[in-house]
Amino acid sequence: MTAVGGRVAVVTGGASGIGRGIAEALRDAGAQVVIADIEQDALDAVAAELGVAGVQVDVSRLESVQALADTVLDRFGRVDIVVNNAGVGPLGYIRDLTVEDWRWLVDVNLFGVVHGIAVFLPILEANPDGGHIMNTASQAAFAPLESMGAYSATKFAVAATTEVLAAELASAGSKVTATLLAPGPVLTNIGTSSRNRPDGEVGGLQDAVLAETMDTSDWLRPEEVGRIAVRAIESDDWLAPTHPQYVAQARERFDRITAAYGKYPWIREEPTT
Amino acid sequence: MTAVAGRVAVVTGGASGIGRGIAEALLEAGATVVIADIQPDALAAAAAELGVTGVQVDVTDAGSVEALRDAVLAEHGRVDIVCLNAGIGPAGLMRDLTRADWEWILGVNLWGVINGVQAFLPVLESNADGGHIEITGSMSSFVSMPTIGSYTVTKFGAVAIAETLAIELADAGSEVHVSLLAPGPVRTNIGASSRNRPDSLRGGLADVDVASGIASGMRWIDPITAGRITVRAIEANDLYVPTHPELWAPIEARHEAIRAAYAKYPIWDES
Repeated sequence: MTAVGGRVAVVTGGASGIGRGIAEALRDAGAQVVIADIEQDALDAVAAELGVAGVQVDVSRLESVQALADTVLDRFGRVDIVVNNAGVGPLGYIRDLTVEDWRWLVDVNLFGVVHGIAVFLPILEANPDGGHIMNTASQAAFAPLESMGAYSATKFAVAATTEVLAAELASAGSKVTATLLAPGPVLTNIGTSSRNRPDGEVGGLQDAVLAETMDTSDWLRPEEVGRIAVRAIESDDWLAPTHPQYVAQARERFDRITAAYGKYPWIREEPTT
Repeated sequence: MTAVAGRVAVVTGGASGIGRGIAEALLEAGATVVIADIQPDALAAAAAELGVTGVQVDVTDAGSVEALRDAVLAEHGRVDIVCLNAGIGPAGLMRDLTRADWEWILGVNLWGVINGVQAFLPVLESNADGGHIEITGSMSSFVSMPTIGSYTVTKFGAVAIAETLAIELADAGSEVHVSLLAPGPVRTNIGASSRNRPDSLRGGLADVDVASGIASGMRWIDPITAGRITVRAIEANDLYVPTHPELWAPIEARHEAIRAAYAKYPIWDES
């Protein structure tokens, strides 16, 4: 049970999409919220709209995340809840990707989380009552999809990061807990991820055409995901999927892995000649 | 069915451990083998012992992997089977890891795979009869264990790449196939990974003897056994290739925990 009311919470990628939804839900649950984002304009506008603090950050840079923590500590004296949420989600077939494509996704989606843990975990562990780290992965962390290879690789990686972190904290008796948020489709602006791509980079990744062309009947709104996230933080749930109906995708993949393990019999040691 | 006999195969990390086992098993099956490794002394010794060509490579460097590809093409005129196997396995608690730790292990284990796919996939696709990419993951591609978090991150990433690539190639009707080797404990020198650590990337990760730690009590196999399993999987075009089917229980437990979380979260009721 992690209390949210009265706690100080930082949400990266908080100026739009799921991050904004989580920031709103945390504020509604009584937290003091700091949104952090790379987009200064969106950050200023959303901070004013939500009545929360805004700090610019580039999560792909360790020094920038460190500066975010310093700013929050200066202004609020503490940090209790950290949501490592900033992410990009462009699409591309693996055969079309460049090394620069991979670098961009790994820097934002994976190193953003790694930096958040490296910088904030010691701060949370220094709190007498601990704290909470939530990392935003994706449904694609459990079942990769065509044209989402680089994205899935980073989200699988975030899942591993969070699972191991949660297990290590638990076995150390830490009062810090961790949650893996696994959103299915949400009505966000992740389909315009390239707006924040470093200048001059080229590759095979393209912004996804999402809501415009797809049946969005079971897509969630960011504020709904925000409430799921707050419930997961309060409950210290290790995994918070937003679309339970998508369990079938994961289950089918797990069944394929099960079948492979069943197919490979024990092979006894044999002499090499 | 991917034929192995008479094909040209490249194995990264081929001078020791599982890579050397794969190289030996490919030779047994009649392939022409090139081993690639970062350690020149071990590379020269293993190449001489196996009677194969050795090419030095740093898999963290895209240019070095492209140079490997070009060297193999120059010598053999083709490449059919690529085993992206080079990897390291140091341990460290998540809270102790530095940026340099992450760069080191992601560089070898994840970028090694990415650079290999980028360099070799077009060559395999240009073959009339396609080819095969083997990616060495781990049992840790399917289950997470404390103390090897950064290793697990890289191996989760590797399986995501292997699976997505397999789906994309199948949908495109490609003759290139993908296998993800998921070894359990193998008698290798991965416990001495730091011997190849760049001085610029020192941190909290350290070599660990898993035989007396998280893998104590598990069945250990020799590299040649992992190699023969790999060759069988390449021939059969199997995607998931576990060496230790008996270690299924922790994977099933993880899958159950994920299913339980999905069951706990009902469809959000807007009110």
